[in-house]
Amino acid sequence: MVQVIYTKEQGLKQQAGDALISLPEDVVITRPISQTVTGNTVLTLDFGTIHHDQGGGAQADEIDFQNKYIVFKTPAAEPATFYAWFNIDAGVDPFAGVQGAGTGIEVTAVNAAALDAPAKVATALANALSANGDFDDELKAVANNATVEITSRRMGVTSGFISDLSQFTNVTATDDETVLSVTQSYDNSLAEGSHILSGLGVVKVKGALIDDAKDSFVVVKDLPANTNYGVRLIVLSELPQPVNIRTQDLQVTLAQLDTAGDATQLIWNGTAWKAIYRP
Amino acid sequence: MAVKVVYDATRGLVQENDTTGAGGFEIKDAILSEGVEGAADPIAATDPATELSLTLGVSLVKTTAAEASGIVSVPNAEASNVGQIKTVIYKAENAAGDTLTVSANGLGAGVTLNDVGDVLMLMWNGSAWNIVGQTA
Repeated sequence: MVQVIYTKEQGLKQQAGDALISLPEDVVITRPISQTVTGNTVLTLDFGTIHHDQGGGAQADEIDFQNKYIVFKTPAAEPATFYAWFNIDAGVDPFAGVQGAGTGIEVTAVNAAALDAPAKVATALANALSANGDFDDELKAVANNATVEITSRRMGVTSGFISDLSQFTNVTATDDETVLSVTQSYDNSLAEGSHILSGLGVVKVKGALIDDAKDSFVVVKDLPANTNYGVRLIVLSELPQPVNIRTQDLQVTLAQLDTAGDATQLIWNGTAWKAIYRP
Repeated sequence: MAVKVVYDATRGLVQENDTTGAGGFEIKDAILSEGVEGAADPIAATDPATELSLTLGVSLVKTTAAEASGIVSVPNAEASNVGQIKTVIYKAENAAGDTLTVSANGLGAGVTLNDVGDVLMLMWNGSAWNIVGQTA
């Protein structure tokens, strides 16, 4: 049989002997960090001074919010579509019965006064988005005065998640003169890499932004079925905030890394990743 | 000066001069896989125990109709092979509720794997097998 011996002086050498690969006692097999996933992308929707028509006559900062909508697409490999639509007393879902429109999230206001300030608009929208569990699983929405900050829980993504803001873009105010727009801006300066871990050796996740009941997450890409039995993946984490390591189908959280120095070792059993060690 | 061995997907296996003298064996951007027994047909767990391979790093095991609580054993490794890793994967069951027990020197009464997909990883310490990790 052929055995392979490594020495620092000669490198690899093949010779007859028992089948093995041998390393000297002061040499280890090392794996560089094959992938680093950093941060989360944050979208800011800014309503500025815009608020709902109060019916008091021409105003330069009022538009009719009734039945208007914003369409979101999650930054997943197979994006899910959500549309948030404003219902101010007897509104009508703009996409009722429309195939493929996605999931409707109603932003309910009991009357016009409930949306008489941009901060109230932002709060109403953020609360409605947060209340939808499927939306919140992917995107965390928080109101901040006249803005809604929406953070992707998937780390590393740099793509946007607004699909349609046209209903709030270049809209003429009730004064029939002023043109208003809700603005969107993305901060992906902290996001880097991919939310999908490739399964090669050692990867690092760092710089997560969210600390709540769901936290941020990355997913581990499945290997081809019935191959690569026993292959291992180590995930190292750097805080500041926790990170969940999830399977590609999101059904299983393999590990929760929430303390400085946390790491997990995963193993592929031929059909799924399993955590062989988690903190 | 030492010789360092590096594998990467683009160049393959390359030997490089390492002026630091540290040398080393580095694997980049590739999966490190080991020999597998039972890939085509998992090893049947029996009672008395079926002995698993020492030269293949991963063993895929199944229960059978004849043995719903089958046992496999991991033999002792060479005393000098400290750090040798052995991975056992419960690959298939004959019926729901079957269990698989892995016995080895160092595991006491053995480690039971209850569900298909469960994994046990062992490391040889020179005289016995230690559990590196196991799935829940």
